[in-house]
Amino acid sequence: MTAAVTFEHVSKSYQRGHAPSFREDTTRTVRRLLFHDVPRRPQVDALRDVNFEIEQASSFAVMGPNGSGKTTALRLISRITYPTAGAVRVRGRVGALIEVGTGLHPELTGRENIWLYGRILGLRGRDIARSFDSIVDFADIGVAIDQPVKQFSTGMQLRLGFALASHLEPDVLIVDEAVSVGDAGFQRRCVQRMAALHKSGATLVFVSHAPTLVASLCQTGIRLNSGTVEAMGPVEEIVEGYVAEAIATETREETAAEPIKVRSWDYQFTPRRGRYLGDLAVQVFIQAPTPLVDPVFGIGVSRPGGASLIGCSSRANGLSVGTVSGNMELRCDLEELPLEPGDYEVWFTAMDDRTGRYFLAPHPLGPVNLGRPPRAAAGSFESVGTTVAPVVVTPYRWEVIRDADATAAGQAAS
Amino acid sequence: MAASSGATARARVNPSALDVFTVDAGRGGPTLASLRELWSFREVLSAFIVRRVKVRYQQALFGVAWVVIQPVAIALVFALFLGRLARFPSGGVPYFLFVLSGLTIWWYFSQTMAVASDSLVSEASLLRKVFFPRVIPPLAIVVAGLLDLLLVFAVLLPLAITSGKGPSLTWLFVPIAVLIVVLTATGIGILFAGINVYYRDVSNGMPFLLQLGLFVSPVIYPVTLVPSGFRDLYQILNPVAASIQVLRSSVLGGQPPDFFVTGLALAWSIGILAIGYTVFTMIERRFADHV
Repeated sequence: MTAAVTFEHVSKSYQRGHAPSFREDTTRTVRRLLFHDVPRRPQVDALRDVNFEIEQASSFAVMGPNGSGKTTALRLISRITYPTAGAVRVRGRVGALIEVGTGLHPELTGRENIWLYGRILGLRGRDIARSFDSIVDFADIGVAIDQPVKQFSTGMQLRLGFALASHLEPDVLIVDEAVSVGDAGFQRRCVQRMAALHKSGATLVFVSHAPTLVASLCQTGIRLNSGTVEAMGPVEEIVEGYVAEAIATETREETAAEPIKVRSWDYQFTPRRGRYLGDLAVQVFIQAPTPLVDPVFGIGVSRPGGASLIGCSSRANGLSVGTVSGNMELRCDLEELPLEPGDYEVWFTAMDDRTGRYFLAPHPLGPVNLGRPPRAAAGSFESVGTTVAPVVVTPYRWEVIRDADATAAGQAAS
Repeated sequence: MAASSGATARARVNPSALDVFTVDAGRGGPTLASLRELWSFREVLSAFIVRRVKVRYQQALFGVAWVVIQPVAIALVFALFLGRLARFPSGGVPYFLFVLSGLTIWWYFSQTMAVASDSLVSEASLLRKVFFPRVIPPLAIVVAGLLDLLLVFAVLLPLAITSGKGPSLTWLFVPIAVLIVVLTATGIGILFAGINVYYRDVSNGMPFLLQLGLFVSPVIYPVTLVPSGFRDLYQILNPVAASIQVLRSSVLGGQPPDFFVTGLALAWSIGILAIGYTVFTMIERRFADHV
């Protein structure tokens, strides 16, 4: 079998930080030569000693989290960038199905852009002539074709750029997340186009975060992580590994990134005699591993697994806690709850007052019991097939304004 | 389905017969292969040229006229202040005609330099997404500018005839003048365009350099103003000066240019192009990482 693409010990590093200025670079060079004390500009390794082969006419998936080196790998295949070490060998013409809408010239018409940008992307004049109608169809721009591109909607521009790229007939077709452009119908056309090109013998290299799409389009692939190849093989294994890794990362990030943790909590409920209202005191024992400036806390009551009924903000109460670091115990007294007795939930949250971001997103602490509902609670009515279970109480008073006979008499009179 | 018809229409060649291209960690450089590749991308070059011309002539209200009005208006101002009032020497030719001939060459050179040096930076989004020989955008600017040059010639030559500098056989040397300035503009244009990707200082320094260049080149004064001991060397080292001098002697003077000086200036302009292209191919590999 022939390889369409071969990565041989490929490493690629970028310089970190802002764009260089002539002055800065000169100073660095001179100091390095004279004093040998200035380090080179810090480097970021996008790929580290990567080796793999993509077989001719196969369809190959490149998966991995953001920043794992996928895009760098594709850029190397399409000669946009060059490796720092190693070599990439590519057999035949490379074409990339990428979003190129930004490359269209706004002053020129759709038609002119098709001719000019088509060529810049690598379509030959006779290819454009032959597939002109197909390009217009694909982009779905219709009569707008003779208007300047600046009058196109963003969607039309993207579709036109993509339609051009999709009419390339390369030996190696690179697709980088481009399918996410446009509506469902457009996406379907893109996938069909990719499948058709692959069927006609092109090698397909597909980068995507969409596991099902990858699994349906590709046969083999690799999974990258931090610039190295973590797995290589049948697409099912790659997708499986990717999903598992993504879930693991998510869980890790959740636990690591939480600035506030609830260590424990407790509550006391004191029913009041003669009324349905009672007093609820909630204590929360929290821990902040890193110092947090002026957090705002919130405690509230919600129906079990349902809508929040009461929320108490420490800011509305005028409580300023300053900088929180380490352990802290908080208490919130909710007096005269206007709630029917029963089972509820208590939730807790903490947010950054300056940015409005959560230190800890609202989440239930646990169930609370606010008194046993009386057998025939005042607010509970059972009828045939329906139950009305009100939650909120309010002081009320019933009275009779007119008795039934009087009403009947009044109706008869009129 | 319409979309798939294109893919199936093309018969695929035997896979193992395809060319293998290696993207390696080498330094690059001006290889024969890079020139062959440039030739194979000639349709891309023509697309860049056509686009430049279209955008330039369609956008402006005056369109074509604008290209001519600018150098002619500047020549008129120079003619009034330098010719009439300051009485600059012009070698027996009406000063307006004299300065317009110099501006014809200089205008092409300076306009080309200004646009070409920004041509890669302004195509940043394309450079990050599409491969084509990176020399194409600045090269397209140099070529597209020839249309402007032609239009200014279309004003200069009839004016020369009306003031008695009739068409003569020496006009056949005009292409030499154009060749020298085009080679020089290409060499410096691609060099500056390349350096500009790394150091935007080039964009900042360009207006200053071009103003300096106007006075370093014999646009508003005759080359005879340069001390005779340095005159030849001056024209050889500054090919723009040689180009202007070839144009003036052949069109306004009715004499063939100095073959020795012109030949060496032509050789040096080829040298400038070679240096520019060599440096360009050595730095182009990291363009996409910096632009």
